[in-house]
Amino acid sequence: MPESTDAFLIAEEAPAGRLVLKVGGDWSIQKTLPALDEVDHRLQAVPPRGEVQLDLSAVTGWDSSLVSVVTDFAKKCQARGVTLETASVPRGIQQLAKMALAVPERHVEQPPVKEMFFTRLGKAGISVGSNVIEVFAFTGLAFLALGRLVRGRALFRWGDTWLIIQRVGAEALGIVAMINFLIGLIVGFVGAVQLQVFGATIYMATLVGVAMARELGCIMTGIIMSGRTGASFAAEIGSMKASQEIDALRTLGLSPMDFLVLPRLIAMVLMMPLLTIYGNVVGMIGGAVLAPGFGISFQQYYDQLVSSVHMTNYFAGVLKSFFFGAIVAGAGCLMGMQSGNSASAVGQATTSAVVAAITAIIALDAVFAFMFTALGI
Amino acid sequence: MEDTHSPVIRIRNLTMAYGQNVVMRDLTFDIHQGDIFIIMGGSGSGKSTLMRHLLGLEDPARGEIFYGAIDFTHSDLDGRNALLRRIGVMYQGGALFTSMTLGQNVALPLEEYTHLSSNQIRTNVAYKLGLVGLSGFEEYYPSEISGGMNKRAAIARAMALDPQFLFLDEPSAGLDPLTAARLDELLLELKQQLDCTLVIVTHELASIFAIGTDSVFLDTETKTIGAVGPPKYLRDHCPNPEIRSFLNPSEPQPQTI
Ligand SMILES: Nc1ncnc2c1ncn2[C@@H]1O[C@H](COP(=O)(O)OP(=O)(O)OP(=O)(O)O)[C@@H](O)[C@H]1O
Ligand SMILES: [Mg+2]
Repeated sequence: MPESTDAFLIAEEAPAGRLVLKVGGDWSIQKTLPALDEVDHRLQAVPPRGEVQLDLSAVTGWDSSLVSVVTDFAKKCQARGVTLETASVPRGIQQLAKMALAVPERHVEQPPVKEMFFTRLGKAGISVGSNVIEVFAFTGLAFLALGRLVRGRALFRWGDTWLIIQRVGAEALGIVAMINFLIGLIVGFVGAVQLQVFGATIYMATLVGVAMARELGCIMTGIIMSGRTGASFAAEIGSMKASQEIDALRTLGLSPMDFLVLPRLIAMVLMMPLLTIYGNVVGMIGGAVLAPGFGISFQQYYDQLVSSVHMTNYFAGVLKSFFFGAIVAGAGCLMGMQSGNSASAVGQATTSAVVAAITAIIALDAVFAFMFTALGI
Repeated sequence: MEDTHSPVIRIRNLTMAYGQNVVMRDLTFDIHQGDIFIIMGGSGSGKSTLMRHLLGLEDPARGEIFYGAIDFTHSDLDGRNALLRRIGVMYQGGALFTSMTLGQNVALPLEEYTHLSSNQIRTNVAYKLGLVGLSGFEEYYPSEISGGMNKRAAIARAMALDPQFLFLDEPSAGLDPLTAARLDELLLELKQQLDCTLVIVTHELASIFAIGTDSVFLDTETKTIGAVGPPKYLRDHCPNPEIRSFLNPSEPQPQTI
């Protein structure tokens, strides 16, 4: 027999309806192996109570590639009541195949079916609906927890809250300053270039002031915080869920709402306005940096800013920032609580927390813009 | 078998499902005061799921769970929380709070539910960590200790409030034989000294026979109870040969294929 021939598998008809499967050569998972379709076909054609002989006498080498095929034959014959004659099968292969067949296949209920386009569309619609309901339910629960806190009945830890305030507030100062500074600078520059045409460059101060105070300060801070803090809330709570820490809280009788969500919500609602005010100031400084380049002194810039930017603009921005803070914390916590129990689910929760928070911030800002206009503010 | 003690947890026609996928149906059995009750069954048979139902973390698809006279399944959140304060739980993975040290983990329930001074809490925490062989580890974070140590710390947290019921999901899996035996001893001692009822999910035959006084076997094939009774009795007298061989691996296996 030649050493290391290619693996082969031939089905031969023998007298009396017997099927002989001749297997031989070197079966290795690293090499090309014979196709199985032809033999499978012949195997299906064997009548019940028929006989199949497995002839492995020409096999020169084998690994799991051959064992899996033999196991598969054995399974198919067993299912159809066909006798499989295995006298020439090496003992090792027999043992391994027996191990693989020892535990009967679990009957899996309801295998996942492939869904039609409209079914998927309908389900997507329903899930949007239930997501909205969950957002409302979560908001309700948050208010209930707040109520318990006010009545002093919540299991609430101020210590945790201080730590979170420090994390979301003080530690965010750098990035908030940098982004708002650049935004102020950009708005100032673009504005000044346009205003130069009319010889009205002094109004760049007004432009920067109103834009920062009313819109950009709170929106940019909101977006930064949803990427920085909302994402971390979702990841933190999501991985607590994955490691059953949330279950452990529940069975300790500690509501995750009181214990995890409330401190984060309070920290964000308190810190967001402060960060926004800070961002406003830094943004206006960003605009001022360019002023001398357009022939405006710092004093003129400052005077123009103070005289033309009304207090209501600041008020509008700060008012919005309370809501944006609640959105960032709420989205982070909600997505974390809804997260599945795996690492990839936590990643998804983080992504959706950021996307949901930014979308909600922009949408709510539009609503506010409409309301302020209607109210003439 | 013996009826000297009364049932404290009664499970009635409990059917457990995740969505459409039924895990176990029609479970009816009692857990008695002072039992060390073992939940047995193959991997994936629904032991952890049963424990989650007993703790109210999942809602039954059908059936009820009673603690004494309390209908746990239908009580409101306050009712459940009041009961949960009498229950200590150790989860399969430990589930310690990773942002807290071991000491803080064990102290948390004491801080929330007792009026002990911080000094008394410290003493109590040190004692409980000592019980599980972790004295001196108060300042360590869960990520800084081994998996088996995490489990033991989780047991210490479960015992924090001297609970009336202690639920443990595979407490000795992943422990060396010596520590596992010590743990069995500890659980036995706790039961005797504090008169609490233990519900333990475990595969460890040694510990099943060493401490188990009663048990239920969840059968994956039929998706319901395979047998109820003291483990030793089931090993010798259970009519189902699969369960006998589960409990006594030296007995010849029922032949498959
Ligand atoms: N969150 C879940 N969602 C859907 N199905 C689940 C979930 N958790 C468990 N299951 C299913 O329920 C069944 C029982 O799982 P469970 O974790 O209770 O098993 P177990 O008996 O504790 O197993 P092990 O001994 O391996 O821990 C499994 O078939 C599993 O697929
Ligand atoms: Mg389990």
